[in-house]
Amino acid sequence: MLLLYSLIRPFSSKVSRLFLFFGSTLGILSLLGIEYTQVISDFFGIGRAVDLYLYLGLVTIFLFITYAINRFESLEKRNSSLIQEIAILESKLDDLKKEDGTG
Amino acid sequence: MFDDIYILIPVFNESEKIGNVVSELKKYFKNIIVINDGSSDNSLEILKKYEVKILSHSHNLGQGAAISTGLRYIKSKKNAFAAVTFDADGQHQTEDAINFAKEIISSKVDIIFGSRFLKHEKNIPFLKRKVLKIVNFFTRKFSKINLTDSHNGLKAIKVSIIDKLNFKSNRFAFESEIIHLISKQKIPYKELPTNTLYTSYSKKKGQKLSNGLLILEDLFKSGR
Repeated sequence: MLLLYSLIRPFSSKVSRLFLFFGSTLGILSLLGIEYTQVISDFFGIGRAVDLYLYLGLVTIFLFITYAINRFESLEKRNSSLIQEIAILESKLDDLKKEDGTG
Repeated sequence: MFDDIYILIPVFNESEKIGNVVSELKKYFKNIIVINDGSSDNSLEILKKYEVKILSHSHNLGQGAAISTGLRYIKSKKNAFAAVTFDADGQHQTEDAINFAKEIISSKVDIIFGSRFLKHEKNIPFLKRKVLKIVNFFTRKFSKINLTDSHNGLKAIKVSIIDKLNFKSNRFAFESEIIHLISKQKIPYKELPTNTLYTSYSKKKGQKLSNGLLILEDLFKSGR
């Protein structure tokens, strides 16, 4: 289900799609039998299949933290820009009211 | 009385000093722009008693963002020739602002940096002086700009170069960013001495010495 979902769901980035695709594929393989994930572990030279999950877990956490930090910074920039824009527009409006004699 | 020089004061919780600062400046400068950067004390109420233009950030964004808002506003003023940035904590002297205003009008440079090291070095507390010297040394190395005081709040900036100073940092890192922008775009600059008063109030309100490490970090990032 998750594998199918990763193929049809619209994603904002290819990395997110690939992440879900490989994650769900690995999930299917681990359900089918440990020997399949062992093959992948051997391919990467990790040794035990359980270590593969451990390393993938760490990589996932690291990627999530990086993504969250970038996202926070981007939101902070947008927020700042809006606050600055409002401050300038309010003061310009105030100037116009004073010029018109309505303020 | 200067009417084409705009004084720009970022304010964050400065109710204790801001009244005196503004009333002193008002004797010499017609246009004073105060950016109330989300103050939670009664700075705004105090400012409303004076004939100054107040721009308000609904939340505290930092000194860099406040300066940026002020510069953008000043840019829209037809009679504005230059902006002089001034601290709200009473550290800066009105006489210095007057000197900066006179100099930016008569000089060919586009930006004037204040320096505590040119004349009044002994006023700087010992430890702060040493930290500032280290920061200045690295600023010179990274930016190739020969400044004796890279983080002084007193500056005079011609309106004609505001678009070139498109800094992104909201907080104190904007100072390093300005220096790099000046260096990259080869904007003509000079330094003038400033007499900074270190009172117990300004020491409490001012930057921590450990922020020197963050400044060095910013220098490294923007110098790459």
